[in-house]
Amino acid sequence: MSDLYLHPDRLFDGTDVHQDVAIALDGDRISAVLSAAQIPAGARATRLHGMTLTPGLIDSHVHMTPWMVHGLLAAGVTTVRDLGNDLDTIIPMLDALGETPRPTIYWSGPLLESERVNWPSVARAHTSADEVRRTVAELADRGVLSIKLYYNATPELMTAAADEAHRRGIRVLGHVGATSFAEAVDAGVDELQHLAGCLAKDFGETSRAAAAGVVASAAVDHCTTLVGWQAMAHLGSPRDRRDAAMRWVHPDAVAAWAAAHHATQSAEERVRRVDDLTERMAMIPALRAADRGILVGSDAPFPGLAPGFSLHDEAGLLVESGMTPLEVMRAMTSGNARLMGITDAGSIVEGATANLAAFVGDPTTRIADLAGITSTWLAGVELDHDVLARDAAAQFARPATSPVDQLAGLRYIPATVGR
Amino acid sequence: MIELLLVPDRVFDGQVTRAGLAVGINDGRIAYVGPADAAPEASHTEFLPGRTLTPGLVDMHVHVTAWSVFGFRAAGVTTVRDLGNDVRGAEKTLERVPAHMVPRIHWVGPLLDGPIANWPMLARAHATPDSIAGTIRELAADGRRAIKLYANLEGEYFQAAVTEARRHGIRVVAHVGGRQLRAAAAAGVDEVQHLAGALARDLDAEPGDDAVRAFLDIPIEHCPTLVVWEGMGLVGAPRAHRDRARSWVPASIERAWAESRHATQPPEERAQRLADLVERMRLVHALHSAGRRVLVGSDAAFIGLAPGFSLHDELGLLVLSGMPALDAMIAATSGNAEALGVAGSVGSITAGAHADLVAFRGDPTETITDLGLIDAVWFGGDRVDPVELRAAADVEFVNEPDSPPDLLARQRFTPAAQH
Repeated sequence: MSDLYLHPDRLFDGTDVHQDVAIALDGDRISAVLSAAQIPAGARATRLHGMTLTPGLIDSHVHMTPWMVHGLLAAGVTTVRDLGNDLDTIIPMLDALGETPRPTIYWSGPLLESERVNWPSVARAHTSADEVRRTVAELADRGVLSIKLYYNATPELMTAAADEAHRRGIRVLGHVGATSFAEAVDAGVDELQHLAGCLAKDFGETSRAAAAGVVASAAVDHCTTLVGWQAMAHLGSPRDRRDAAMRWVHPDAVAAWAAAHHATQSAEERVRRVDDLTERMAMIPALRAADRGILVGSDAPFPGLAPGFSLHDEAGLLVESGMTPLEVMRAMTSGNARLMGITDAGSIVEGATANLAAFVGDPTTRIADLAGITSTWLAGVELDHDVLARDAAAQFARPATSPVDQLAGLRYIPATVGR
Repeated sequence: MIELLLVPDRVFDGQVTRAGLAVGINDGRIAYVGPADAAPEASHTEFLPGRTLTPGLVDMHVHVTAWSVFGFRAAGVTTVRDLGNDVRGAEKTLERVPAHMVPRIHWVGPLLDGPIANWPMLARAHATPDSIAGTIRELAADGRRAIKLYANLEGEYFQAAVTEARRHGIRVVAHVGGRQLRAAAAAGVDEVQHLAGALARDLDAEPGDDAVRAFLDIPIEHCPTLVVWEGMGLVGAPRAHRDRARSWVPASIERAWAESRHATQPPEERAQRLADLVERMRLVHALHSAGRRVLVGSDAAFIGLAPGFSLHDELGLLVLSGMPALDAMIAATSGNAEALGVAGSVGSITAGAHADLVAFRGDPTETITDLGLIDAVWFGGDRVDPVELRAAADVEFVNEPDSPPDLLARQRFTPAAQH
């Protein structure tokens, strides 16, 4: 007999929603997915009344700092992909958390740049194709599943890095900046972040529909991070202060966000950001129609993005952009896992690690019900959210100093060190 | 000797923010505003370290329900203009609310509509332009200081209404139909809601600078209620469900919002609504840059708009659109009061005014986000007891919402004209 059975009203397995279905947990694993009627008499079973049980959520775009782990788990995020960090510094910092529970982290290493570097604390500069190939080889040896080419990477560097990565079975991500969308695609990028460089103005197109058509026609996946654009525009709304998610944000970050460049920029710039967000949202149906992969990621802890809960908000924006709640829930679990190239996450199947989340209501039909999260299981252990809050408070008593936190000192204005 | 002396770090009196002042209260009125060190002796002195004391906020666009009063009070909105209601029906349901928790309400009475009324339970239909004059005489006799013309009216109705209203010294407010802004202004309508009829497509203008100039050429005051367009989009967002403001909205009303036509509209309509919001934000910037008056209103408790707190969010959007925080706060206090014809009585901290006051941690006249840090509210000199307020709200929220505006919720906010 298994250690524990969980019997929700609805089970979302990462693909479909089932009723009258339970799961059995053995140690850190899901040992069975079974009909609720098959739960043995006398077994230790938890009936999750009115709730939907889902795989632990996956955030495909974060930058880890130690103070984020509690918020991620409280939001039901049990797996993340870190898209830019200084591994030699951040990994020991996270290890120092000891027994504190934390999500599974898939690293991609530092932002790969040319001589010119926007965010020095989480990036590495490269002057030649050979140099960037050596970096890719080094990251491959560390076991990364993806690398990220950043804003100032030249077409030559991107092409060399992509070639080296693909030879090693590594996925190539890009953030279009100084280069163009077409150059990134030609260099062999598999996935783009933020829909950066994808707007009509970036193509010199007058029509937004035409720009969306160009983007959708390229065989590239997109991690849209709409919520990042929304946060930058709306930073400083009184609503933020009422948001229960803010309790999971380090006070140093709250202060840094308030002082961020985005919070203090001119009205024209901020309204333009709202306008750009609108254009990006209108692009989602075109990407869906062309069957492009959409990854769900937040970019936390960039200004305004509370860990974990900003992923819920990204899901809300994708629904607002025309995806159904079920499509978004699939994308945020099994879809993210498939596109990230990981196997043991995002699905409730026999043998999988028991990373789970439970929500009052049903986020597969009503995305707002993500706010109804009540429970998170990490490797078979149910996490007490009150304990998470206490651990967070203890963590917040220490200053936020990780490589990602150092961006605050720049007011999140790219430093552009180098030529 | 005065009853109560408040000594905050800063006083915003409705015009300017100054340090070193104290505010004295006697018999529900402000008895002293001046240097703290020269203040008269008081029975009680309350120090408010780190706080900014402001006049109670004025919301120029609400539809009062029995359940709405608690949110207004919690958010420091102490005076409201009700822009469409069955006044007797509303007053009857307000009888069960503790009288001292009801804000100062300026009623306009029913929406005055044409042969078809969109919202019959809040409106009066008029088959001919002449018949509207009779209604206005009746409203004047009831003591109304403003009237509201609604969406299905055109030229002759505007003229008939303005002519009659002028005789009684009554302000004419309108929510004009799609292309009626110029006609309303030409007839002498004083103020329009929601920037209705103000978009490029309504004015037959090229989007961009031409449309903005055409808009500014129309001499009329605006109460933009930007938050209406944002609120409809937020109804289904996880973020909205983490918002502490929602604790001031009954569950049945939240359900009605979620099921409303606007919250469930198809992606193309949502995208258009967002694009329109951007255009409206640019119009607000243009109005403010041109030195025109901007009135601050929320349209609570329409879809997604928590009473009181949605006025904070409106202020956030006005600042995002380009109004400095101080100008937005002036508009929401003394500016709104002047348009209501009660300058010096509410919306100002000045000797003789009602002692309706709000204390915020921080300084919302510097940083609009600090509206989210509301700390204390005084109404007529009495400090609001948050525990008593919550308890009274919980008592009222047991009742099925039955104030006249709640009937809109029952029909899922579908206008009769569109049945």
